[in-house]
Amino acid sequence: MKNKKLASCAVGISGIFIVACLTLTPMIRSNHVGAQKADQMKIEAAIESKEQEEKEKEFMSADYQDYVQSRIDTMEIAISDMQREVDRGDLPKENHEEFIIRIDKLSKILDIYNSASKGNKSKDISRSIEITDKLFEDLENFYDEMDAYNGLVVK
Amino acid sequence: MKKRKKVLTMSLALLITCSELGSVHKVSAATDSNYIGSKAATYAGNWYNGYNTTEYYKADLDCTNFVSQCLEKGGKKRSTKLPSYTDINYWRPHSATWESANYFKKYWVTQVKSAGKSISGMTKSEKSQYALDVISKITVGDVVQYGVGSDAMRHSQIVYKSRTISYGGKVWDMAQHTSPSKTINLHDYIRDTGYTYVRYYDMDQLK
Repeated sequence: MKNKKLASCAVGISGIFIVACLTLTPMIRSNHVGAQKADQMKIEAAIESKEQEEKEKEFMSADYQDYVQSRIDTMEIAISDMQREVDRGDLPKENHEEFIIRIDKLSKILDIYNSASKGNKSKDISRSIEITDKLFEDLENFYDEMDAYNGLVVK
Repeated sequence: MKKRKKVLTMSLALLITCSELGSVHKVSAATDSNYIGSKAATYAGNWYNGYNTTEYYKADLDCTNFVSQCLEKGGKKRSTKLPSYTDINYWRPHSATWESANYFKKYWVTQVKSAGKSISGMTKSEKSQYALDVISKITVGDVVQYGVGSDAMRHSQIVYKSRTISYGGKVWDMAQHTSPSKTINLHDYIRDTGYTYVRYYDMDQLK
């Protein structure tokens, strides 16, 4: 009788132990995974901030500023040179039309850039990067549009 | 028999040496040592935004007149006479070869090494590749012209400065008149404008 009681007690204890194990293990595991995720996010945020810092440093370098300025100067000169050609009035018809389209598109890209730059009065660096990236993206799109205008398929 | 062989070998060696000397001479003769590209570029930098009317004059469309001035300052010799304005065998101030882009081409293609290419059927990436190819072949004091056909050159620029930047690789700053500038990015200019023909001149390599 006593033995029976002892046996059922043992079964009860081991049952409780098993239930506790089954309940606690996932909780411990999820806590561990949660901590891992938080760490991962922290690392990612640190990398992102480091990358942004590097990008800002690069953007502010004299080398990059020169590069940006020379691309803007070239757009302005290209517009002015093509306008002069159009004004001369002796371009072949197909060139004349293309020059007018290029002048129009390049002028719009420059206008967008200039007004965005004007709006960034505080010269916020990350905003300046955005504006410049947009300018370069618009330029690439312009080249694509001119390829399409000339019926050229991008290889 | 042995003596004859020796004489034959010696004559052959002499012949080879002479022909080698000849080819070396030929290479050095093809280079115009009078032309110093950096001098031409210095003049371009000093006068890109002004007119040197003391020594020269201001033309109506001044780009080619300006490039010719730079070339003379770099060491190119002007012709001593000018039978007629459009005579393509002579180059001097107030001649068509001096101040008109297409006549400039007609004169200089006979004088120095140059290469021209139609870019009208090129996609943006092909133009970019072509521009990089031109960039790799020119140097300070060389000339690049743009037009709408091989015999329709309309604009002239001179290579002012080379820069290597971490973002765009090697960059040539071009100088020009008419719309004055000395910071034109050659790689972009070829892609931005609608010119369909480009010719560059290696000004110190005689033809």
